Amino acid sequence: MTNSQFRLSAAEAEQPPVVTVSGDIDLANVNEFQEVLNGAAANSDAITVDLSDVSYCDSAAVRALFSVAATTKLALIVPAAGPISTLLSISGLDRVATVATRD
Amino acid sequence: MTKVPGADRGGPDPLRIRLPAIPASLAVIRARLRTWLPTAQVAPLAAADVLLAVGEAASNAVEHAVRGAAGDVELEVTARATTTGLALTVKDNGRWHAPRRSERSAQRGHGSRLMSALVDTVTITPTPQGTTVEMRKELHP
Repeated sequence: MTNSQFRLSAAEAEQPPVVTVSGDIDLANVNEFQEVLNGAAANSDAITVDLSDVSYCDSAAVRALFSVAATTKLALIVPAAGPISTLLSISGLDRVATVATRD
Repeated sequence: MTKVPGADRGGPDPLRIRLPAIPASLAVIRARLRTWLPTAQVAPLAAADVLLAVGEAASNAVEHAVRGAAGDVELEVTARATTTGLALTVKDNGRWHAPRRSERSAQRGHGSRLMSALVDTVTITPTPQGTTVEMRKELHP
């Protein structure tokens, strides 16, 4: 698993750091996802996580996002279609993060 | 080829995958489903729901296996076309741990509510020999 699946763009001007994710997130790579999230949140009180190119994620990813949302203001960008929005609403993650869609 | 009862939609052969209950198996299960679901005429959005429901159940099984003392836990995933949709099973032979009142069980609650939101019926049968999750997804062409 390479780091290119999880890309961190540093904060710029008024914008918080952005973690851009592509591909699948599951138990096999969620620790790496968590590390990138923690790294982004380490020096910022807000981060954006762009999941719009994520082809699969489940509760493992939700747990990682909840964990970073405990200490950091979290904004998510999600695909317009597909089950990620179901995942966010059932887990309650959409109540601790702001969620925007991109199509 | 013999006809399987309830599989007379003219669909593909049922899918059966047996793998060790380890995290690396999850991607293999998704890859097999991503190939099989279109052959069963499942539209992309319904296929994504199935992928997540099965993935969530399989992920739970892998987490059980990791926490269980005994090794060699296996995961079996099946999918077959029925007359009106899909029948899916995710089975593990790991030892069952009674849910404890903890954040873990709250998360497990999320997992089964998520599956229920994605497919039409979910039946979870825990036994001392393992856990079986049976799901039905109706397809509306």
